Amino acid sequence: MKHIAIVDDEAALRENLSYALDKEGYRVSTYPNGQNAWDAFHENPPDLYLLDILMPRMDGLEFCRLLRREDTRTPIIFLSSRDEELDRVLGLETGGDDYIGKPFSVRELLARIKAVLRRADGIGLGEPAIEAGPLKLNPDSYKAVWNETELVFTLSEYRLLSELARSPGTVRTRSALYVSAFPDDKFVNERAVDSHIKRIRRKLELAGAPKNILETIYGLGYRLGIDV
Amino acid sequence: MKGLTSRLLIFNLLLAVFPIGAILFLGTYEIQLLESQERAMVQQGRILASALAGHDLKVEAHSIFERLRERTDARLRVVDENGLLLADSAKPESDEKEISSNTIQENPEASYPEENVIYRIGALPTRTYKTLSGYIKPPQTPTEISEYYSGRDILDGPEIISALNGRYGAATRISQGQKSVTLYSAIPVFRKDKVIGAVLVSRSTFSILSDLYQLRLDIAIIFLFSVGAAIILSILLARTVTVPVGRLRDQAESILDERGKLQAGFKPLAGKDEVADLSRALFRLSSRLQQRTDHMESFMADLVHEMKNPVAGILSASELAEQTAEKETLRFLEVIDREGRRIERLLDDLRELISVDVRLNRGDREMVDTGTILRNLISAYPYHRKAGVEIEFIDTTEKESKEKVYIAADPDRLAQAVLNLVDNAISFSPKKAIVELKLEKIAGGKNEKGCIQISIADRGPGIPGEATQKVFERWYTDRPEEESSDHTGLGLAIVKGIVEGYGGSIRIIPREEGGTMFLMEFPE
Repeated sequence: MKHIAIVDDEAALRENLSYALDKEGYRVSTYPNGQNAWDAFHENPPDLYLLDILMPRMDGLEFCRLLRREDTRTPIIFLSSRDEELDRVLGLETGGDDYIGKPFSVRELLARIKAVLRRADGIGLGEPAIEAGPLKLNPDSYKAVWNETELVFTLSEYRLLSELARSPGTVRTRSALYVSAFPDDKFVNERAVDSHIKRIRRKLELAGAPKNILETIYGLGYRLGIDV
Repeated sequence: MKGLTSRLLIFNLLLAVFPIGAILFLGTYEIQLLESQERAMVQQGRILASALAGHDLKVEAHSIFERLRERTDARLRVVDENGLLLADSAKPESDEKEISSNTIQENPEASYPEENVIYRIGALPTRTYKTLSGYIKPPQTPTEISEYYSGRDILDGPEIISALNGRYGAATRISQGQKSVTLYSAIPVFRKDKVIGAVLVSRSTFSILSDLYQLRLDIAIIFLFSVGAAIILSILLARTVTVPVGRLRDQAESILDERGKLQAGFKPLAGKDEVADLSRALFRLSSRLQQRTDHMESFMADLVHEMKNPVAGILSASELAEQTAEKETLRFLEVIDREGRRIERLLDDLRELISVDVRLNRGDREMVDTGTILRNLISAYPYHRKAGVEIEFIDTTEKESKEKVYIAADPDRLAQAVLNLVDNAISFSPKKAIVELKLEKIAGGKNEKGCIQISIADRGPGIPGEATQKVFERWYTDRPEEESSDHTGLGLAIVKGIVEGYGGSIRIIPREEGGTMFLMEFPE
């Protein structure tokens, strides 16, 4: 039985989520802030963290940093109501595995938890591997390789990139990308695609990809500029 | 030069004009000088006359003149009782001119202050006045010229006749070709109560006038210098006031940028004067205002964020409840879900509205190929959401000139503004209607700049005249009751914010055949 820790200062969310997760067959612990979660980490380590960012006493960012110093494996899914904060969290240095914006659909969250746990266990999504020029995407490990350099993406980023890599050179609309990255989310906010693309771009560039590999087709969507 | 500077200059110039009064005063001074010269001449004549009284006129006069040489300013002549010239202090060869003129004329180029350009300019009004008054005044009797006696042996001028009659005689004659006059004084020489001859003293006023001219010239030069100094001082003085005031004005103007948005603070003027005080007061005021708007912006952002947490709780609870609820309860859960999402949409729009300004400031502008963007938008637009409405894109620029049309903007923001309007148009359209999206380039005239127009026209119910401005206000909606829960009333406010942020304008034009057209105009 997988153990999931919910760290959020919103009591209603803690209650709803533990009910839903409990029904799905997970063991659940809840903490109102990062400090409490950190205090309990050694005695009661979970298999996955649902982590809010803005919290009293210790925020999600600080908690993530502390956790990653000792444990690089336990996956973290960030819950946040602020896009701007995610830029900091899902940047390169801290290790978030995925994020979901508030408010979110419970069904979507459950799907994410399942996917992230599978990835942590090394079980793939059952999708075929994708290759687009120097870019290789491996759905079993959720890892991407640009030439020889390994890239670590969050689940949403991985899904977005694989959607683009499946048909390199053709334009994918924002809404198509959104559906592929957040398949079960009813709360459509296509803006989320933009911030994800920004982060994918940064990661690709750091791995040595050309600057404009992820082209913006304004008003329409995005295109992976790789000729196959 | 404007305002303060010119006022200061006028006052300073008035001060500089006072020396002109001194030049006028010189008229009196001239008369005094001439009087004293005449007195001196008479004195000289009397002394000579008394020295000659007991002697032979011709011999004694010659010997006195010999001794005097030319150490006298005046020309002395001695005549006998018949007016016959016996002796002359002037040399025979210089007989043509009077003594004092001669001495000065030896050095011709140095000595004519009245020939000076400055003097001529200064004297112009006086000369004009004299010429004019010459027409008005009765013609004066022509005065004899000073060369009256030249080359004569018998001197018979009125002053000589008067002196030979035992009285003092005087005459004034004009020096030929000169402004000066020559004064003549004749003093009788008595021997035992009988007039035996006369002494004629003559002297040109040339030297006096020459001095006066020099004086006037000096005053004119001083006047010119004063005027120059007044101008420079006024400008300097004005600059000490106008420069800081000008800077203060620039600062006051810099508080708001061209979009009327409050800008970050400026550096207040240093110094202890009132202008610097004013600048500091302005600085405090603007920083306070800046703080306030910053506070408002972050407060709104925090509010949006804080509201999202409970909304997330409500929505997840209703989602979970739906799974176990009975039919009766389900109806109410749907209401909870719908209203919860409405709050969420509101919060999203609100955040968008707050950040439009921030993003406009931050976002780099580029030249956006508008035709391509609009075409992309339409081809990707998910208008299947509301069946039966078609979007027609009319690109007049492509048909007419094949030239691409560019707007300086952030392409995402521009696309968002157009999308909001298209959404709006579609939601108001009846089924099977056509929404027209039109791109047009209006060529600039001589006095007008050209512009780029994007219009979105629908066949909806139209907007009543009084509401055409209100629709751009926040929270205003003019939708039927049943639809209003899907819309927040912020969409058009966001559009307006974006359009104006890029220096454009937006207005509503009712269509003649029914419906509404939103017209956006961007500078070329």
